[in-house]
Amino acid sequence: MIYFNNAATSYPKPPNVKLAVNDYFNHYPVGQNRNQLGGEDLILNIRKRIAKFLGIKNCNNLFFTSGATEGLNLLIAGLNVEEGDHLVTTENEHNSVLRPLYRLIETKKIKLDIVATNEYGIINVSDIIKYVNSETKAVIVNHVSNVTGFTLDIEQLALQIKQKSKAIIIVDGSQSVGYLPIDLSRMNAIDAFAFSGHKSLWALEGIGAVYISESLINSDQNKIAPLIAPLKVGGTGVKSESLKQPTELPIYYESGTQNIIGIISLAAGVDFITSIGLEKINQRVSVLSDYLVDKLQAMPEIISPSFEIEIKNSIISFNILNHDPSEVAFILSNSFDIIVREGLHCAPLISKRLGFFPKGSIRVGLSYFNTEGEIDFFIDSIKKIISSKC
Amino acid sequence: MIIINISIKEDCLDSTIIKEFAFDQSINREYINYLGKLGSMQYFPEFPKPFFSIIVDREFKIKGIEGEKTIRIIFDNKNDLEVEKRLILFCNRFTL
Repeated sequence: MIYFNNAATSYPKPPNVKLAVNDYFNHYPVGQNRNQLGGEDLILNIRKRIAKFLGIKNCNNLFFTSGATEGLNLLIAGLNVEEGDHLVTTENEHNSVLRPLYRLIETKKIKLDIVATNEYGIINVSDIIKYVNSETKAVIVNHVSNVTGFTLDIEQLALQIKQKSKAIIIVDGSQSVGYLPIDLSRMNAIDAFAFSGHKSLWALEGIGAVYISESLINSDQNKIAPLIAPLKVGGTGVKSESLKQPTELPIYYESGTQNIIGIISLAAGVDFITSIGLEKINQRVSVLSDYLVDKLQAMPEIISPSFEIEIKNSIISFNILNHDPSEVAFILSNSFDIIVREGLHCAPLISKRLGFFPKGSIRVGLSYFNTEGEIDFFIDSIKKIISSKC
Repeated sequence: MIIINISIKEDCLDSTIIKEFAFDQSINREYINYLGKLGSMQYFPEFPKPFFSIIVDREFKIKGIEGEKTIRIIFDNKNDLEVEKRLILFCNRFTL
């Protein structure tokens, strides 16, 4: 089996992730603020390690979620907006951004500008800046498109937005974290960064995290009042005498029992990246992406926005002329044992822009563990499908 | 060959619906030829696991893999249950 669906969920997981998950069952259960076992709190220890990996100075500004969808829902639904407030996003976004924003249109009657990409899914910082004004409340963008692999210069975007607006800048880092260097203390104009753990961070499904900067925490006179409302409130393990949700971070956003095994797997995934080196992982995946794109580009039947995108990242989407992508994916999976993703990839607007609507496209999501040999077999398989005229 | 389970794989926005029929036995070449009597068949033995598709105009498209126990059917009109009933009867009528 060849697995090319890493942009959905990575597989195989690194050996140390499997070991860490197995080891979890050999110990008494631990949960943040919910036991009397000695030693440093496990979750705190992991929070510190992940914060360090992302260049976050205060690990309490990082809190765990079930994934990027929950994180982005929290950030968008928690915005303090009212009727007529202006928000900006782009066509590149996943439904985990678009649907919460459309709900704000319905419930709060906000005004939303969706910035168009070009026909290859490319969008410039200046394209987005044009839509931002002094009244804009928030700008929500992804770092890397989950359809085209296009990478937005979020650091430059955030800096330019801050020059003309007080808008909150929210970044969906689902497809960049684990491949691209993220230093959130250096990218300090970004107010919030949400990501999932089960893609390029190698964790189990069901774990993710959100970072919010000090700009979203109103800590006047030691009274902490975060500017983003929590998605859920409830048991935090501390201050249980209070019927109000404690406002200290990270517990303000972490009610309920944590996904401990997911958090452990996330830490192990980050440890794996650190042990190999992020730069080495990025270089390896870039080599594989270029190798695949070169071979696809040599086939006149292939249509792909990736041919026009300079920095490929790990994602390449394409279609074969006169072939239904769902049928191609079915044949790849069932005849050739190659797993890819087909469809709209939960990103309908960019699929429309690329001319891939309504049937969508075939998406290859590469990982550090893929090989040139697998790509060769994949290309041969595509050639057989094309020549069979099925 | 008997259908032992029918599941909906995708209820599409348009009028189509994709269902999966699971059989009690693996699909062999003989059964593929039998299904091929329904309409226009394509069979690809050059693939590592042979793929086949059968199109019945304005009714459905079957796709499957020789050796597997399931086929997928894209019904053109999800509301036309008569077409599905006839197909089920046809599938179950075959004996080795």
